[in-house]
Amino acid sequence: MKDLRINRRAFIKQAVMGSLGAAAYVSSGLRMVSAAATPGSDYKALVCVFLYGGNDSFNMFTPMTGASRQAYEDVRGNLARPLGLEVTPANMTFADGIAFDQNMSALRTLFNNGALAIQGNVGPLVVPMYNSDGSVNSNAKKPHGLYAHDGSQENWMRGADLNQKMGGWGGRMLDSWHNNNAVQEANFIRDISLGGTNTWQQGIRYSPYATNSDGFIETSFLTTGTGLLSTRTNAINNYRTNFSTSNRLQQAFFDLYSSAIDNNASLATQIAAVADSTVTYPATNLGTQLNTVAKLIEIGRANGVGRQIFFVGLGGFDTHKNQVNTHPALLTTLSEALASFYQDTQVKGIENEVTTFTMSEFGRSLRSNGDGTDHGWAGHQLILGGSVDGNKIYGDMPEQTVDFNLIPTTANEQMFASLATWFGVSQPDINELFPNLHQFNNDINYFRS
Amino acid sequence: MRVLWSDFYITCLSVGNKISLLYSGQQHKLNMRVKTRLLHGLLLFSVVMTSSTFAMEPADAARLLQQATFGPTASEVEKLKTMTAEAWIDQQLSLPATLHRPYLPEGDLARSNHQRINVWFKTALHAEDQLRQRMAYALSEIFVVSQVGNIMLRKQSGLMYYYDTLINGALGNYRDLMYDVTMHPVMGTYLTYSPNEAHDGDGASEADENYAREIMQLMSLGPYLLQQNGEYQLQDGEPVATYSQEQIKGFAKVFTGLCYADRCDERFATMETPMTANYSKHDVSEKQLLSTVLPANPDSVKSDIDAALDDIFAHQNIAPFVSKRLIQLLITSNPTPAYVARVAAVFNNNGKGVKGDMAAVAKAIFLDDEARNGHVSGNADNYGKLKEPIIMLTNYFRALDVYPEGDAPYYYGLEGSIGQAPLVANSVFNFFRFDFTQPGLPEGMVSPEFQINSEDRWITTNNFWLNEVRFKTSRYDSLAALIESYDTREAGLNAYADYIDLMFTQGQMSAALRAQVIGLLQVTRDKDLRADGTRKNQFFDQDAIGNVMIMLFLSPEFAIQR
Repeated sequence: MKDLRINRRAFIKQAVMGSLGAAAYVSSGLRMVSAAATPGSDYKALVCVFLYGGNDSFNMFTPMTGASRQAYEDVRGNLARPLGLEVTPANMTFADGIAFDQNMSALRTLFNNGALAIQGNVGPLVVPMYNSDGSVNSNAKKPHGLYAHDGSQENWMRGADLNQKMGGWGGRMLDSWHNNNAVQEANFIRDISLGGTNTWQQGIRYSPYATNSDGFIETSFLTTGTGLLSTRTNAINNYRTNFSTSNRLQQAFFDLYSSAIDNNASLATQIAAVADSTVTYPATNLGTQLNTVAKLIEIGRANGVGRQIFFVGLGGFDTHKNQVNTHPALLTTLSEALASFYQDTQVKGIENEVTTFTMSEFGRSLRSNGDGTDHGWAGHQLILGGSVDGNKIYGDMPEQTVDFNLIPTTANEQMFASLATWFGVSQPDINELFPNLHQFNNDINYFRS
Repeated sequence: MRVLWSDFYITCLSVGNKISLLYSGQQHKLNMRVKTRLLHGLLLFSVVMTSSTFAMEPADAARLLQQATFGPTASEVEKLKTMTAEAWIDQQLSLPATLHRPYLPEGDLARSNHQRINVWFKTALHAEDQLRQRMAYALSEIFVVSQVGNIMLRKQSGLMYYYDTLINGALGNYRDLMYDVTMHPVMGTYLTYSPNEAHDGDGASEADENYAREIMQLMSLGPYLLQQNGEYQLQDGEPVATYSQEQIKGFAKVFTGLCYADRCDERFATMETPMTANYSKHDVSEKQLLSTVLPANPDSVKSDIDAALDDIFAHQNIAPFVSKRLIQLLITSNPTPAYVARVAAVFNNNGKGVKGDMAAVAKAIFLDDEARNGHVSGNADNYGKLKEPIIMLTNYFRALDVYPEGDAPYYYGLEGSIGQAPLVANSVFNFFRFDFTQPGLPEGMVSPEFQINSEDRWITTNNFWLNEVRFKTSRYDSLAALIESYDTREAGLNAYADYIDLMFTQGQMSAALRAQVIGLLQVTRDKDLRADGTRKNQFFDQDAIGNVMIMLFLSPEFAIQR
């Protein structure tokens, strides 16, 4: 299937960069891993699950007993969760125990089985916030956009601070892969969002294709109509062929239009040809999105697309109010959908080739505002997959006390660097992708060697 | 204002598209299409006025109506042929406000969503005070509340009352509107500060920061310091934060002690009267604001709120921030910094020393040279904006008079069909973010409305348009006369296409689109002809227009307002 949008975009980008002097973004020329040799071999997919609104992730992992439990209940007040499901991470011990939330039993099982890892207390940073003696460096430069939804979402999706890099780190990763891989370059299926438009998947040269949770939509406006209404199809095609404009917004809309018609038709055919999964996904939108991702992975592998990235979303985490009721339900949705997806990859024997991870713009204030929580900074994230060195907590899992300041001890760029390394980005290129990484140790590795 | 040639003499200050005139002692910048020719050694000017100072050409009138109303109509375009843009705007500014809540019987409270949306369409399609209504809709995307995500879905009459607050305040003073919104029970519920009790000294919890942050970030100042032209003020090449987390905490304490007037329980509150204050639940400790510290133990809750809103209103950012947002919502996604600065100057001072006069701001926005002539300026390639789906819909309804005589559609879940309905955004960040950039655009350009036009959304919306034309073509009664008069002659087809061009693309339709429009009309016309040349009158109006509408709805030319 011809991908009009890509050809058009590639052309525009070149023209634009020539005139605006943005060539630096291209000429930096990441050295990427070598191309896939044959269809199906050396395949990897990264799946981003974005938890919109700022997940109160400190409430996903809570202490069991003793002084830690008491401190937790004191700071959390009416928002403290009941005792959870205890785990014993392989690399960390907790005197007072540590537990998954009681609504996350499915993920706790995967943690115990070694497929799930936790990255603790991570957030956007441009320099370390702590001095070597453990005190906070109050003069340290902070990223832009902290505490705000939009600014913090951008920090996560870009893997960079405001204005440091164009596009998102997922899209930039794929850009460099394209440089060496003609098959990938020609196929839009490399970069698909089922969770709406987002920056993470936006590359410098190429763009994601956004579709709904089913992967395609009936285009009745092109095909349906009785009598003379049906005569419009030729007119639409003629118009597409003859359209030209110098207005950039019109051109962008035309590209969208072409991409929608052509790529949607392609996906409708290809997805229909994939057998339904034998795994029963939960009847939630996140479940449907991940079910479709699994199908798109099959299609990508069959087409010899060596790398794919996917974006799915779950909203509702901005729990200023009524957190006691809404947040646990969201954790259930997350846990069950992720577990079904992982099981599906196992059934298909591709669990080692797919890594799923969460991002969320921020963790939330520990203290209650009476009925909910406010915007914070650091949070915990999940990394799931057959290649993951799981049953471990990476980074820190700070005690929840009135004194805890929500300042990250791991930079999200450190987290992304490990994911990108697994994906195949060479070490010299990692610093190119993540502009602040050189300020931190680059020694996090979530994956079994 | 009637301008006679004898009233002024021309001094040609620049050659090209723009000429400055010295007129009655004042310099007026006019944009004119100037043709010059030499005749017997004399330089002759023939001048086609496109300026706001003169009566309008139909295409220019339609452009103004596309920007300042819910879409051009034949009668308004006709009216503007004899009026200047300024006179039309002045007339609009003088009209009384058409409100939503009075459409419901008094005391009739929780009406369903489809009734509220129906009233919105009644007003959008038929209210005389179109400019005020269009401003109010733009403001509903700055002072965002939504029925999504909390109890507001069941408080539809409250949402109507909120929208009326925006309609009433749309041409008043921005500072007054900030107060009315702050005290509004719907905003109090949506951004969770009703109730929001004082927590000073209890150590266990803190004031809810939700409204404190968003009123500054989204409704007045933005997160970074701005120049008056809307660009960031940079320090060492970096944007500078407008406020700190400590200042947010200060404002959060201000918005404590408010609750619904009838009963402090959102389930039972009517949300039809402003919130009231309870001093005993107000945080009376010292509050760090932007430029001042409010002392402990204020006179009243209201004195705290007034001081806090004054503090925000006095900030240098508010004029460029609000001006740029409104320009982006009404005129163009990427205004030049000079345009923003011109409107911001009026926001700061309406000419009579008053700041925040929204009638003056509206006038500055619509009469600016960039609004009137940006589509033929040197910046034309970057000019314009993607129409919001709901504006496409009202554009269509008004242009073809699909709902005549005060009628309006009922929709169930319009947001699922086109991604948008009034007060149904997914979050306080509106349907789209103002910094969203569609892939493929040059660095630095934004295209906010593209964010709700992802490929899947675009397809879903076009499926909706198909249903609109399939089931509503019988409503094109008002076009029957047009169709009859144009008959089947070629001139008729061209006149028909001209009408579509004027109403939907404001005289800017490309030859490529026009050829397809004419072609669709021809195919249908031919089917309608009997062998003897008489007409069956079966197909022409409905199917022809239906097909043309589908073509239009998916065309970049209709989608991008220029």
